[in-house]
Amino acid sequence: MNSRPYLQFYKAILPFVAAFALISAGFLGIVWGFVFFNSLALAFGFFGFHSFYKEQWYTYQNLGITKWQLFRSSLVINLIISIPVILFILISMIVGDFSLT
Amino acid sequence: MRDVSFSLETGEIIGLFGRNGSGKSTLLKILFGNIKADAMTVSLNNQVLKISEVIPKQHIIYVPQHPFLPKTMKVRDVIIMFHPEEKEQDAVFYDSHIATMTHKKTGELSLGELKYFEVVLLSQLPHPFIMLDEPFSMLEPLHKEKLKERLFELKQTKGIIITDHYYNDVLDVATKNMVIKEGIGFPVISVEDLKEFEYLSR
Repeated sequence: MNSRPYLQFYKAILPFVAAFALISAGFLGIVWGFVFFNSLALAFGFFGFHSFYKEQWYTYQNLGITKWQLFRSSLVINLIISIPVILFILISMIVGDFSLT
Repeated sequence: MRDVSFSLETGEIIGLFGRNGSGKSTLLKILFGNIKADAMTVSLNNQVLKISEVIPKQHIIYVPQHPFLPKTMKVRDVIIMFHPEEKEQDAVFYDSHIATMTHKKTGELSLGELKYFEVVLLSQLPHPFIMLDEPFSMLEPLHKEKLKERLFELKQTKGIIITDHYYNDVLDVATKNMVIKEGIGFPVISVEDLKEFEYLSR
């Protein structure tokens, strides 16, 4: 499988996703920021891409990649990035020096 | 749009005409699956085709009117992204007009360079059909000629639909033509026919 288009798309939406997650973290705490990073922020990233780079959908569609496939791949990349953070939170909770608030 | 029908085979170029708002671009977007029509049938090799399969099964390429490649990517990186196999990469890299611009970002190309690059880049994809929305608009004469040469080469392996207001350029390359008037598609052959259907003034 050609992974380059999926990574390129993720690169394009990442600023929107990260901004949403960081703002959420600022208002609601790091855990909520992290939760949003893997949920609402991704939807916000799609909205941002559609608003600012609408014509670029054709790049991916001409490669045979649908919007739904891009969403799924972005979710997977997000989760892969999140694994170290999840491990850090779990280990910190077990050790006992990490607060969820 | 009410009644438009046509057939397209490898080796053919259809020129699609119509006044602004007649539905030319809409028709292309419907065929690509980006806009839903109330009713339509598309067949490929006598098999009814689900429009939702056009993109994932790579049946039709759509080259929109406006630039669609990521502006911050370099031409060489775009080529590699579109064509992971060396053979297809080389066909684009070694095009004499593209070879000089591979170090540039797509956002730095002139409109003519970019349009030519888009067509060459996409023409190496395996899709059997390609639709071009206003490919001649804003192009300088030199780029137009290059694009026409490329289209003549391309029709050896693909069926092509072109819509553009530069009707002389379209008539130069098209093997058959159609004009959309009041939602209905009519076959046309000459400039006189385009006048008959009030696409051109008499």
